Amino acid sequence: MPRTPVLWRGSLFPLAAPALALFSWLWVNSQLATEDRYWAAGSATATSAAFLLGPLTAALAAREVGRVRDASAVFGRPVRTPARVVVDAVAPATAAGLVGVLAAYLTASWHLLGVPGGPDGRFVLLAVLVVVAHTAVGAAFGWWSRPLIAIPSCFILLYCWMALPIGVEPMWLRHLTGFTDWGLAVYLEVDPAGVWAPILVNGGVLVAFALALACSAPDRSPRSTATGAVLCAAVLVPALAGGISTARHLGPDPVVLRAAPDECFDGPVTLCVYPEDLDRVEEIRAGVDLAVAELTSRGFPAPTRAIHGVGADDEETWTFTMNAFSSPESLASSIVAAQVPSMPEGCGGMGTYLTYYLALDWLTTAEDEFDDPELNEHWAALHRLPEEDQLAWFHGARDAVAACGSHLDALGPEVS
Amino acid sequence: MDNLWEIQGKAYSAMLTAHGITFSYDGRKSTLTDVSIHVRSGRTIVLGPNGAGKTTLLNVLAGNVSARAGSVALSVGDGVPPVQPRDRARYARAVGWLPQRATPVRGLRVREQVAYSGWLKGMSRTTAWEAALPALDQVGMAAHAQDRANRLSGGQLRRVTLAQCLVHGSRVLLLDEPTAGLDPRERDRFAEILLGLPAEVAVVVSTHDVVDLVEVVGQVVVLNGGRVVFTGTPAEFLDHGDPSLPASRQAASAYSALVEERTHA
Repeated sequence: MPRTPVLWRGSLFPLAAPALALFSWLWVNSQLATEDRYWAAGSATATSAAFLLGPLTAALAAREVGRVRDASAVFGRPVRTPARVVVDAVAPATAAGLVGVLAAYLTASWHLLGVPGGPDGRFVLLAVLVVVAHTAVGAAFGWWSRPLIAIPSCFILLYCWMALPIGVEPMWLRHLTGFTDWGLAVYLEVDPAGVWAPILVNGGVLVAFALALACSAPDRSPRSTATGAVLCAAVLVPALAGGISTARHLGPDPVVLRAAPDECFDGPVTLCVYPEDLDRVEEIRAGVDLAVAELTSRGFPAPTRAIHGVGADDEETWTFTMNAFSSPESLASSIVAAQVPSMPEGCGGMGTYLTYYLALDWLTTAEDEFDDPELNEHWAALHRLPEEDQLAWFHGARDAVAACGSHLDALGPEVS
Repeated sequence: MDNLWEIQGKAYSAMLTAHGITFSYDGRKSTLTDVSIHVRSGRTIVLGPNGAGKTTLLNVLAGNVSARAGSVALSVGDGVPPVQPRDRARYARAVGWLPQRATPVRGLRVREQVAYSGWLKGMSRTTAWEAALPALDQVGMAAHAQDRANRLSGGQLRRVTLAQCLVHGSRVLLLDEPTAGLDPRERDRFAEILLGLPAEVAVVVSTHDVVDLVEVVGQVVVLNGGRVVFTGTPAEFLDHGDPSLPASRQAASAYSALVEERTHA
């Protein structure tokens, strides 16, 4: 007696499972090489492998169902329900897809060995749902059309569904698919809507398929086909509407700022970092100390706290961001540069741009000559001021940039 | 397992009755018109020219399609209520179907193919696997159990398909042109296999092949234009032939006479 159901014999599982696992390993390795060592990023990256695992699993499912479909005339009227027959037929394809998901998460786990936390259950659920929902769609293709048509067409269509929305409008479309390649930094976390929207859509597809199978008659009578179609629509339409309504407000990446870290270390400057960076505290402190030295030499007061994350800095508290590759020097540079706030979205005035670049350049002493002659004149005017006036101009410029304004007038009418 | 078919070990006779069957594929032109036949245990041959409705009749009897009018019922013994095609599980389990074209599941070996068929008909995987070998033995294919099903010859594949009908203990076998395209040796072998089937199994064979099979059956049904034009024993069938012809050509002559009578009528 074979240990597996007979349809596993002659299925593509033995070839497909290692191939999908290899793809997952390559994908997650390449993506996580540049990501923060952070489980939210690891989970999103592992789940993002579904952009290819899904369509490949669908093509496999179409092929496996096609085997039974081609031979179905020989078996006459089965006692098993169509649902049971199809589920049995697609089991090898589904298993191959899930091996791919498992490989993606094992690769992520290997990358994140020692990092506090573990895989995010929502992402695991999403990955499984995407793969199984794709299996369902592939099975439907395989059941209703010949393998020669079903296999390539379901792969191409589903690959387009997964890969194309990222480059098209409306923005929410990309958040329905389950392609979660978001690059989550440690100070960010996923907006739950970004995960629940594709869970709703993929779950809807799966439930619709299950209902269609449950009410399909072996003779594919028009009545059972119509009932199945109505039930499918009754599930798919609300699932899709729910997904769209959940995803409508999301930006390109569905991320939100993570709560400020509460692991703080005393010192001349109290340093607060996320649990993922506890093994880099000394390195981070070295970077903060370099920044403090740099900024105090320019007349800035030393802060009392430095916090990993994004927030409004004041004299008491600095915030900083970094990534897995930040050195103390690069961290110090970014802390220094962060004293000039980014221009708010929609600032279009030339005065704001010039104020911003001039303030940034003054702070980081990056250049003393620009291609823009107007900027050169401003630069020269700024550096002619006494040091305390330069610092006062900088603070004024910082406030002006934050308000989308210009602070060039303060350098004198002859250059403004 | 269904109670009705758990009495497989006990010999009993199956009777398949179709009454007043009318069937149309397009809702307008009837492929079968008011067809009534009674198939008892033993072998029944359904003869008829192309387009006479033989395959459609077998499809209706198998429950693969539903008739527009009329009824089909399978009786299996005293005190057991007849089973109708709408009782899908019990009916499908009792009926074995051999279509004209046999396509195996890609990648399966012969025993796996037969075991899968048994599983589709409601047997557990273990029972189907164990029953596959005796079923293959019944059709003389046990030696090929480990061969790839898609590498078999047409005749061998036909026999494997017959084993698929037998593996789940069918009480009625519906064989649609089982000898079409086979060489004479395979046709003889197939006829031998039919003769070797248990007496309590009802076998319905549709064919053009009048000569080969008419000698091994108990009942002959002739269809023409979607209607039954003859039902009777082989002897009664042969009575319609030209007595002056040699015995080997009498069946063909009887068949021609019945079909032409109907056409002229």
